[in-house]
Amino acid sequence: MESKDVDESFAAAKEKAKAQVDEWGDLGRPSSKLPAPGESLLVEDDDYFLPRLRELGIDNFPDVTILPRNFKSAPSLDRLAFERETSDLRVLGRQAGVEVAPLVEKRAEIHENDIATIGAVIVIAKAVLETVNSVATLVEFFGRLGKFLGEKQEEASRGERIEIVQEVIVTNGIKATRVTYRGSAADLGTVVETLKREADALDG
Amino acid sequence: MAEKSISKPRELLQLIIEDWTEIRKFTTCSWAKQQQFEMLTMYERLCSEIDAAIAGARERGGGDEASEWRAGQTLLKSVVCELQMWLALKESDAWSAWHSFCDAEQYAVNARRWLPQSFEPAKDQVEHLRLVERIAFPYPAFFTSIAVLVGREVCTICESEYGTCAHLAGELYDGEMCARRCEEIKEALHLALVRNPSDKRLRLREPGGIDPPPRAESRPKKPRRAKSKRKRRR
Repeated sequence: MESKDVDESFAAAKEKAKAQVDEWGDLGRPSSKLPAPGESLLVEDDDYFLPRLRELGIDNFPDVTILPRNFKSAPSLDRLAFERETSDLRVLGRQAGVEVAPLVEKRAEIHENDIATIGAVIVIAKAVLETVNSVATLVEFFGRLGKFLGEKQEEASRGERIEIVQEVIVTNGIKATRVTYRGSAADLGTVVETLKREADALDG
Repeated sequence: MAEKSISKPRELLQLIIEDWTEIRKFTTCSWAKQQQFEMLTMYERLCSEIDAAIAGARERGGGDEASEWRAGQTLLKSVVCELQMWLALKESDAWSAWHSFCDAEQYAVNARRWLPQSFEPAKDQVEHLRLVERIAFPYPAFFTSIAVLVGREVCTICESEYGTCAHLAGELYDGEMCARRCEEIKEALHLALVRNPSDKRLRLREPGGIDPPPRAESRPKKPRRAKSKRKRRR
């Protein structure tokens, strides 16, 4: 292969990589700020989830779903990614009694051989937080998710337990609130209390 | 170390606790090669016996018992791989040693996950291997990581599409670990250099660092002494 051919292949590869980054976006998780040092929760109004949903032409979304990493940057609905951890979250949900459904049907799943250290963004409809039973199953779900993420973290850090970050969006379809948790994996279940409070405040 | 017969998973855990001080003593660079090899052989044999015990438990419908056997066996496998690592280092085979280390670490992490949290040997093995890595394989390495679009992958426990059943990858079910088996790759996206790979075997070799794996064609040939002697005679 001549050096000119190498340069051209390199340039083509760079272009392809750039196009991919533009389409998939940066890893974008978490896409908002983190809780202040010493705090475990950050609650803020979410101003992009619902408008972006409409932009993509999604009228109905599942009660509990997961945002693909390229939710902000995908040019169209059919280019939304299907995250590898979506399948794990569906299994965890099934084990706890929560129906976790993907935002889009699976066409292909993005796999990376690096260890993900940040959980995917979860979206929960307000209605799910309105019954005692649902709240109880959500506590169970987040407890299992915490254990799962904790083990992933432990695997990534080879035995060292470090903090996890988990973002959750609560919405009533008109307004949305984003809750970002940063803390020990074992305590992730406690986030449900905040979700419930924020869900109640959405109508106010 | 005396060989003992065990018939229950709890007895296996008890045996590991009793042997742990000795295991720690043997899994060092300074211990005699012959004794390390003997321990390795003994634990390999024990691991085979545990495989039979797992099969027996599953036949009897004892799924939990099979999982308990597997958890204990996984810790022993970590010890076996670590012993292989020390033996390879003594043979100046750094590449095999690194691979054995990676296996030992993965087994240790799994054992820690599957055994009770209070089971100290599993915790100790994970921490010990972290120190071994710093001392025996120093300097932070880069690893390769691939990103691909996967079309279909199945659960290795029930063979249904992963995510549609109740099995979670990495968990034990009746003594078998659930995994995601990729059946179709739609597109290769990129190759990245990362610090935290899911597979440490994908380590980049630094020049002058870990020796490359031996390849038949590149192995140095033994000098042919007889020929050179003949030359000298001439």
